[in-house]
Amino acid sequence: MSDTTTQTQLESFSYDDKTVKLFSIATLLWGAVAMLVGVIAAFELANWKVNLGLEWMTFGRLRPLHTNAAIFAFAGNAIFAGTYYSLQRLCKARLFSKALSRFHFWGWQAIIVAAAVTLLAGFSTGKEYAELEWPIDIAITLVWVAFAVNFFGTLFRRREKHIYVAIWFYIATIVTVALLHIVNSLSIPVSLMKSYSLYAGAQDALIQWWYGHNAVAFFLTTPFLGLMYYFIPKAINRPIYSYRLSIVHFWSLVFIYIWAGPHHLLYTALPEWLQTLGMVFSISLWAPSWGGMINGLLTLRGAWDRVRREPVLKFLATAVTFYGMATFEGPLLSIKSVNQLAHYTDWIVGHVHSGTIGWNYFMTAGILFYMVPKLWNTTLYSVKLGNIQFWTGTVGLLLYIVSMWVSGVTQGSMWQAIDPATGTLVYPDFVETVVRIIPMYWVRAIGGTLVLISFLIMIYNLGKTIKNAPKDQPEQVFQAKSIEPSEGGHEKGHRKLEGLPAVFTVLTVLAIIVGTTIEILPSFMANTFVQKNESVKPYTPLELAGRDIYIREGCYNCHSQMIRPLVAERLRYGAPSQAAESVYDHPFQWGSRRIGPDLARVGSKYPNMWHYRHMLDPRAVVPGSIMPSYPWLFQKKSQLEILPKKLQVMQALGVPYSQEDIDTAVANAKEQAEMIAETLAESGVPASIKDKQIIPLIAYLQRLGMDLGTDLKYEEEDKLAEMAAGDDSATDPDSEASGELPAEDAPAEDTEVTQ
Amino acid sequence: MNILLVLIPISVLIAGFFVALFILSSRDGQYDDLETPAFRMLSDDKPFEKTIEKATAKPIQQSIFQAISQENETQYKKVDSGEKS
Repeated sequence: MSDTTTQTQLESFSYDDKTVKLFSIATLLWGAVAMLVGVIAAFELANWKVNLGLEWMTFGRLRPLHTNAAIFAFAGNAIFAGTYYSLQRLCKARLFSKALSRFHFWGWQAIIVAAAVTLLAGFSTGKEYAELEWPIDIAITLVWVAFAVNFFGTLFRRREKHIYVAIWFYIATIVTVALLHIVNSLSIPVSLMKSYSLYAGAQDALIQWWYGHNAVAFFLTTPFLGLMYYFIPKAINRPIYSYRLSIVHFWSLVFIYIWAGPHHLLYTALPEWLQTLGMVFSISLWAPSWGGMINGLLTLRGAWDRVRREPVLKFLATAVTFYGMATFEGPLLSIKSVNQLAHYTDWIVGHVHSGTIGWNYFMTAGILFYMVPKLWNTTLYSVKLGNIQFWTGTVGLLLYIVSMWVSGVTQGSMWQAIDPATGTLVYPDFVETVVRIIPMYWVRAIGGTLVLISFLIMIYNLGKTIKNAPKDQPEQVFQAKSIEPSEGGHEKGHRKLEGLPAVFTVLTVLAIIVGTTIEILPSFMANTFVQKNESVKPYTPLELAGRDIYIREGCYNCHSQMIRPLVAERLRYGAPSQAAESVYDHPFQWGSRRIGPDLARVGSKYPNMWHYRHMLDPRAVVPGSIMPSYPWLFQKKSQLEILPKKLQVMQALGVPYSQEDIDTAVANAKEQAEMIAETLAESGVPASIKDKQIIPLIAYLQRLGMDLGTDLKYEEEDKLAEMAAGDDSATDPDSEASGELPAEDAPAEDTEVTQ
Repeated sequence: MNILLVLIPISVLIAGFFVALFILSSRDGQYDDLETPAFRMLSDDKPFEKTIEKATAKPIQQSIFQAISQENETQYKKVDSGEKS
């Protein structure tokens, strides 16, 4: 019946490859920047002096820049380049709007530059991977919407009825990232470059890691899986191993991924059922992830000789292998008993890099090696350089991952080591566990350098390729039939569904919202999560100012504020953190890594003078410390004038400050600063220190964990005494094995108490 | 934890929705053709530049292209109807 429609006239069209070229070049540029910053940060951990004493070069400032640049600048541009290239070809349509394409490109690059400048200057929201302040967040939203309109506009104008599996992955990316970004970035501005998160404490943690985990899922995974489904078959000129599996892969992945976020918060003050939910879904991710990996690798079956010869396939195949490895490791780390050892250690850092370097960088390299010669109508400059790049990168990455495994397991074991005879920590000084892993930091830094070198080789190779390309190439013209809307009358089910991108988008949104609603909505709806505790009071104005300095310097990159209910942590840091303790923390500062010790109960642990000397030169009080010195905190004046505004915003967010608190904020802060300066004066510090930034920081650090401090302290001492009594029996050689039992039981018992 | 009284029904409802959607779509035959798209994406970006240039000179070339695409389509339909019958 549709014989007449096949006679439809052919339409001529061409592809907007200029946009793809621009994004490809930007990928190369920002990839090098992101990796360079990463390498500098890695060397700073091996030797803190690498920061050259510069404020903006400290690890706390570089690390957010590194993560943001690697994810949003490098991977972001790679996604846009690959998506726009494959989308046009799969849809047989030119990009929807030239103006939108240009706005998308230049807008995104402007955001990256703004991000680099502001992060180095210390403007940070204090939420990992979402550190950018509100004006940049708004810009990101605008550019992302431009991307979405351009994308869907192209999709609606397609000349190929069937929507290939790769495009579904792109759709999931566009929709989910928009949702994640907006929900997590909601905040109230204090000034042009300062805002406070709408959420606090446990709720903020839940939303942040729902975002953080899904940034990995929907920024570093789904778009690259889409690219895999396009570029692997294209590069080898064979269809994907199983198209059926790719559909199963897509639906199961988008449905399961969105629930897995709480695995970043195992053993924290988050409700336990939510932790278990996150763990179960993380383990379920094994199936779809490996399904996708197998689908990609089996596409290469019978053509492995070409993988050996061609850089494109070599990178793509290795990337998929690393994807398989990283998605095996991820669920493993989500198992509570494994997470108990691995959380807060370098194991997580190694895991992340096997994903971002092994999967994202190598995928990007494969895609660029495929696209660049085609875009510039030429051949690759040097296959040999491609191979050298591959081996340099692979060796560098393996050094990185292995050193982080060793470092992570070493440090994790040292933290938890308890002498069964005495029931005390084997390594009570945290710094012992730091000094032990410094050799691994050197190995990691060298591995990272090799990865950077491999990237520079690629820039040279592709630069030469582009330079040698013939000039003034006319745009290639293609022809295809347009699709008739009425033609779909006989098509049913999925075919019809695929023909309706709008419907498809709605379904994807639904799948995502399901996960979102169930995990996040409850935390808004009821305060049953947070055990209200009257003795928890808001920060004083000076402490709040200090907290903002803590966030500015990126202290959360190395220090957690969340003591887990494990015996070793209780011995080392004190009573486990409770959700009630951080109800006024906008944003939460639980942290994710302990390069330095946990600070949740550091308040009153040391005298003011200790903090003074420690911030000036950490090694003066902690020999062997790798923390940078912060001399500028002793020179710069603290800005207290803005405090009334800050308190006002906090009040709007539900923190119980009275109008009087707001009015007297500055005077109150000055008074408290004076008191701290007086205690310092006893040790000979000049009185002029009272208006410097070190004072609010000391005030904040001395407040940490103090609200429930005394109550908990006595409780904790009783418990530890009980445990020690239990351990006495362990000294009896016959019952040595049972000596560990109280230690194993204690966390579970305690979790119940905190709920 | 009163919130569970809201959460559990919602989860069951939504999970049920997806199961229903999957069963419906399977019965509807939406997974009937899971072969051709994988092959089709391979052939679509051969530049027709030369074909087109010649086509304007010799219209025959264009009809060859049409014939090929028509052939693909009829094959495609055969597979479609073949599996349904």
